[in-house]
Amino acid sequence: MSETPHGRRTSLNVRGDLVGHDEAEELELDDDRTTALATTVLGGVLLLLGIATLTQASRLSNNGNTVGPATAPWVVGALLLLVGVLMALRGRRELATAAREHTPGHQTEVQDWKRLGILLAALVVFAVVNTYLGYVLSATVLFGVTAVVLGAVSRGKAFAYGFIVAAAVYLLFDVLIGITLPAAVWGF
Amino acid sequence: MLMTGFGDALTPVNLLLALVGVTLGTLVGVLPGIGPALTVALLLPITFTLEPTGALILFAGVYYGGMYGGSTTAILLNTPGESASMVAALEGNKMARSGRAASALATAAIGSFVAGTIATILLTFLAQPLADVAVKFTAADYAGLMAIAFVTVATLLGASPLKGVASLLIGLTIGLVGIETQSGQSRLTFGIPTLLDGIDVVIVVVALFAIGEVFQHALKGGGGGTVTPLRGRAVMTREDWKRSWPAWLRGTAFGFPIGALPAGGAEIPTFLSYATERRLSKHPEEFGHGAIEGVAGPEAANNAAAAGVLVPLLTIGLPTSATAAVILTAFQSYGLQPGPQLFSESGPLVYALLASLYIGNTMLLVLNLPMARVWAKLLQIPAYGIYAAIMVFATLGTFATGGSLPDLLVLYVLGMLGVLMTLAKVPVAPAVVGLILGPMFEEQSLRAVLLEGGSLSGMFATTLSIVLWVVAALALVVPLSLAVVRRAR
Repeated sequence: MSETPHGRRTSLNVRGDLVGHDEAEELELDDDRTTALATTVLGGVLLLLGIATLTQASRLSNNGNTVGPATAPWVVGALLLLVGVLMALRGRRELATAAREHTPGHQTEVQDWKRLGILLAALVVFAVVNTYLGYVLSATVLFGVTAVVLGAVSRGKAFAYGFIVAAAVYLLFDVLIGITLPAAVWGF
Repeated sequence: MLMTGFGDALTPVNLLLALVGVTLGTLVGVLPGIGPALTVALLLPITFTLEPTGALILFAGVYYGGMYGGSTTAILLNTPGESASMVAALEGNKMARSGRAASALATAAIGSFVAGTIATILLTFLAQPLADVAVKFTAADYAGLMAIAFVTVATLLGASPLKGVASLLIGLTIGLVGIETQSGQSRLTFGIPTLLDGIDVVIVVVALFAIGEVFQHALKGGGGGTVTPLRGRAVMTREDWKRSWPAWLRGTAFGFPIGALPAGGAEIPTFLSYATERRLSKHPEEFGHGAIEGVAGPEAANNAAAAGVLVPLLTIGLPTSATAAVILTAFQSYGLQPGPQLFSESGPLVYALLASLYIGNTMLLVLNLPMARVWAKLLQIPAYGIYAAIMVFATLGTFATGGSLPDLLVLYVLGMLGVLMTLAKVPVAPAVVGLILGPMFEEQSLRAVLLEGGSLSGMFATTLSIVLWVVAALALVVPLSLAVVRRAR
């Protein structure tokens, strides 16, 4: 952390130092509230991964040797715990900084998370139905839904383009290259 | 040997493959949000039906094409597909907005050609001697080298050393998943059969880069960027040439050595090149408003580093960038193992690959100066269409490697992790490198220890390995202490 001539606290890094403050800001190298929040959450995820990895390590055996299959999980798990704590602390510190300053720019809102939820649902539905509906139809739906969620004006067109893309992918990869894509009873 | 390589690469079929490769690579690479690593991962399946030489030639074209496409997007749309083309976007997009898109694209294309060619020449001459040295490396030496790669990749790529290390650890954890080769015990598989084989690097790259990108776009509110229209052909004035060529050469001088050392790929040299050009420029006032040196230098550095990264990859089998990690997987899927033995066992193939790098590079220049407007047109496809297509293509790679429901779910879970990482400004590339290097490091370390009868001193059995570990420790400590000193001031 350093005081910049602009009087704003930043957490720039090697890259930011090389290009200078304004450029770093333009490249969005500096952090805002969303970054801080995500850093905290990621720290938590790392902690959980660390616990899972250490639990796994305790169940493995090195067959009496100093090092073996359990060594890497022990080391990685311990580092995950350490870095997870450091990330969470850093995220919290940055959250506090961000709360003191008003950071301009796009703030993530409820509708953004809703959009993300729909995309995730579309992916899961795709994964479940592709063996029944075949690749072409499922991919058409996946394309159409994604396009509409991300702002396509005409729904009909979105699905029509989806069909073209899906059919082209199927022809190229399944028929021509020979990667087996899921097919429905009607053959594609 | 190189001449034989050219002989192999210059057959009509292989020339056609190179042409298809650079065209497809540019086509995919030019799409916003798709960087070279994702381009090669997405296009890997199309090489599966070819014999190794043809596959490598096609793949080399895709690699260089993807690099070129990425810089076009950075300049015209200001959405760099990966951090190494961020700096080019900084000045390039400013040039485009003030009506000089054509010169920006030209200096990027010619600079990439110059840097790519010089770097490929250096690669050609360095590869064999280095491979001869690398043959003598012991397991302990390998472990030391990888330790350096871990440290530099984590601390030099991206936002902060801590976040780089976090990313690396995520990759190492993913790398642990599957059956441990020595003992047959399964690790972190949670009873899910599909995880027993481990998680394929292509799946991880697609999840972290592609799914992460689409989801992040959704979080930012959808919509698209503003494409700057391109008028005229990609040409440069005499003044542009005069200002560009020293920047190209300096960029190459930064890019190749840093790329060739196991030191974290293309990102740092582009930033270094930008900083240098701004300091040396006779027109410092233009920086921030579209200075041509600011495009020429970083683009050259980026391409030189891309060829430099192939040095440790081909001679030692050590990938130091996300793209290199995918290339390593590609080699393995053709039944080849990069490393010192590659030159003795498949020499003709390596030289055919090197020859096709020259050919691909030349083809790109010939193809892209006149075609720049066609690529620019692609950017007018609405963003939602591009992102929807990315979603469809992202699942495709999973089908190429198995494609059951659990495989797809693994892809989605990693995709969500990718979103979280992107939001936290945690660089994704160290995770990909960690995923590949982690298991290799474990194997070499265990071997080194076993060679000394199970004593940990086996890790430092040779002088070289001690030197390498010291370098790794310095690479970790020096940047951190510099940061502390800077903070204290």
